[in-house]
Amino acid sequence: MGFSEKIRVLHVDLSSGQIKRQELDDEVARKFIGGRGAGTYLLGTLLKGQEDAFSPENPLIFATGPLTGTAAPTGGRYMAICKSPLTNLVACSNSGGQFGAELKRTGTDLLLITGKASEPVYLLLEDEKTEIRPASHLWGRDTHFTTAAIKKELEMEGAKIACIGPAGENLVRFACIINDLHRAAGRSGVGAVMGSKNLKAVVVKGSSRPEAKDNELFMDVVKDRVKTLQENPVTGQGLPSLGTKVLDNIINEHGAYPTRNFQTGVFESTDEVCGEALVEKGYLKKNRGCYACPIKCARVTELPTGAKGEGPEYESGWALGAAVGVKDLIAITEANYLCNLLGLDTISCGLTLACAMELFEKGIIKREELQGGPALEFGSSEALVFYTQKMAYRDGFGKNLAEGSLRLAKSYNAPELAMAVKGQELPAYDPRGVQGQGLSYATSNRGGCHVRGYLIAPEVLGIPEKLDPQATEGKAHWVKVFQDLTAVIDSMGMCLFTSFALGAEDYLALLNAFTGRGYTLEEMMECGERIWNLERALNIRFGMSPESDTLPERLLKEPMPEGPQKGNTVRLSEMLPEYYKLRGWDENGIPSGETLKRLGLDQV
Amino acid sequence: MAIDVRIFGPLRLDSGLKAISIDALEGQRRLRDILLELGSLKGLETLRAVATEGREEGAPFIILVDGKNCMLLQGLDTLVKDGQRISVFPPSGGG
Repeated sequence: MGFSEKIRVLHVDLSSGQIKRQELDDEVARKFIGGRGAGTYLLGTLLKGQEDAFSPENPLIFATGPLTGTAAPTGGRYMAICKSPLTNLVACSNSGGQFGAELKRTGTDLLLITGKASEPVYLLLEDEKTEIRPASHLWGRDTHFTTAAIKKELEMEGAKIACIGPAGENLVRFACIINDLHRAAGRSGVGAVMGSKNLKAVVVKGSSRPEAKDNELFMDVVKDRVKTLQENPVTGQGLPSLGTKVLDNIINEHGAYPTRNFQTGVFESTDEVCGEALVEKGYLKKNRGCYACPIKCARVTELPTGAKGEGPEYESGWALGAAVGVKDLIAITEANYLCNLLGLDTISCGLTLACAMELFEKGIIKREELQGGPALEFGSSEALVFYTQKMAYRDGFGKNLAEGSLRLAKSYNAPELAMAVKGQELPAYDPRGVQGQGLSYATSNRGGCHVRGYLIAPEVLGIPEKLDPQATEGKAHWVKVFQDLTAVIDSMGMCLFTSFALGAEDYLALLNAFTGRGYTLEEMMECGERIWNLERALNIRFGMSPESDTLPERLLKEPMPEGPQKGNTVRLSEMLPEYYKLRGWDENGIPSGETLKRLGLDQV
Repeated sequence: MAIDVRIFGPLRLDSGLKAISIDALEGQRRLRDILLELGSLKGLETLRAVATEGREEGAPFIILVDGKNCMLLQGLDTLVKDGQRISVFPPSGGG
C-alpha cells in the first residue's frame, strides 16, 4: 500500500448502512501518534459528554497504531475505544493476536462504527470492500462457535475475526471483545457497547502490508530491537517459559497478592495455582505468540478433563483464583475458558464475584436471593463456574452480578466492599504493598487498571531500577513518566511487555524510522502527556469528579492483616498533591488552562 | 531451626527443587554464602554467578528475605537469621 502519512478512517454507520472513508489531518497523527491517541481524539470529536454508553451515539472505534501490522516486535496491537458502560468514562482496551495487523492490511487505520443495526449483523472488511452482513443465526452463540461459523460461511483463507459472546449481547457491563479465539480487548465493557449496536463480529482480510517511510532503516532498527528482546532475561526467558503467571509467587511472597476480595495479601494456596503448578501438573502444552511477537507469553493449555484452550494468564488466574479464594487450578482454568467463550472480562468477573462472596459472608446477600444457586462462599469452585455462566446470560442472580462490583455493592448499601476505582475492578496487586501502584490505580484514566502505569516493574521487579515499594517520595514522578510512556507505546501499536527490555529511546527509534516524523525524545514523551491529558479532559466532560482519584476505603484505612506487608495502608495523600502539581493540574485535579494550551488541547 | 529457601520460576522447573532447608550454622549467615551453597546444586548454578558477580545489569534476580527485597536491606551482605525465609526468583516480568 506504500507509506501513509495520514490516518485513514473507515466509518460505518450501522443505523443508515452508510460507509464512508475519511482522513484525519496530518497534525492529528503528529500530535496523537495513532492507535490509542488518535482513536481517543476521534472519540472526543463525536461525543458531547452526557450520552449513554449504550446509546447509538456512542461510537465504537477499532484503532491501530502506525506500527500495527509492521515487522516491529509485537506490532500487532489494536485498541477498542468508546465510552464505557462500566465507568461512564473513556474505555480503551488493548488486544493482541492477529486481528489488528489484518485490519491494518485492509488499508484502514481506524475503524469507526456508529449507530445501531436493526437486526444482528457482522461487518466484513476485505481490502477496499466493506459489507454489512446478517448475523441473526449467530446471535446467542459463544465466541468460538461464532468464529468457526463465520470462517466456514465465508471460506476466506486468512480472515481474522473479532466478536462478542452472549455477555456482550446481554449488555454485561464488563463484557469484552474476543479476537482470534483467545485474545481479548478485555476491560471496561467494550464488548457490551458492541452488543448494544447489534454487532456480533468484525471480520478483516487484507492484502497490503504497510510500508515504512524508510524501509531499510526501519528493518535495521527492528532487527536490533528484536535481538534486545531475545537476549533480555525477562522477555527472552522468563515470559516465554512461564508466561505472566511467573508473578503469582513473586507477588504472594511480597505479601501483595489480593486474596478473598482484598481482605488479605497472602494466599495460602498459591503453590496449588501458580504458573509453576500449571507446568508441573502438565496442563501447559506450549506457549504461543501474537503477531510479530518474539516473546510469546500466551499459554496453550489442556486439562485432564479434556477441555482445551488458552490461559489462564496471571491476572485471570488470580481473579478466578485467589480473589475468590479458589485453589482448584482445574476450576480456575475452566472458568477462564468460560470467560473467553462467553466474552467476559476475567478481572471484573472474578472481582465482582469476590465482592458478592464478601457480601454473602457478611450476611448481606441472603441465601434465598440466589434462586437455588450454590452458596456464594469463598473457595467454592462450584460457585465460581456456576455464576460465571449465569452472569453472561443475566440469568437468576447473574443479573445482579452483570452490573459489576460497584453497582452490586451499592445496591446493598455497601459500596465500600467493591474493590474498584471509578467503577472498574482492581487488578492483581494489593497497593498496600506497592505505594506507587496505589497512586497509579487512583489516577488511571480508566479506573482500576494495571496497564496504564505498571509501577510493579520498578517497585517489585526492579525494572528499570529497584525502588522501595513502601516509599512514597518520588513516586508521583515515576507514575507520570510511566503513564506517559505507556500512552506512547499503546498509540504506536506495540505491546507493553516490550518495556521490560526496551526504553523510551528504543520506541523513539522505531517510531521515527517508520513514520519519518523526526520526533525528539521530548516531543514523543509530550505526545504521551498530551494523550493522558486528552483522556483526563474527556473524562471530566463525561462527568468524572476528580474526587474519584482515590482507592477503596479498605486499602486506605484497613492495615494489611498479615504477611510481609502487615500493618501497611496506601499513603495516597502523600503522593496525590505532588502528582497533580507535576501534571500541571490545579489542587482539585483539573488540568489548568495553561497546561491544556501548552499541549495544544485548549479546544478540547 | 534453619533457614527456609523457596525456589521459584524457571529455576524451580530447571532444578526440580521447591524448598530447601539450609543450616543456619551459628544462628545467622550472609545471603551471599547461602547463594553460593545453593549454586552447587544442579539447576541452580546461576545463583553462583549472582553471588560472585553481584548485581547484574538490566533486570535483576529478585531475592527476598521475609518478603523484603535484599536490595533494600544490605544486598548480598544481608545477614539471614535462623527461622527466616528466603525467596529466590530469576529476572521476571508480566502483568
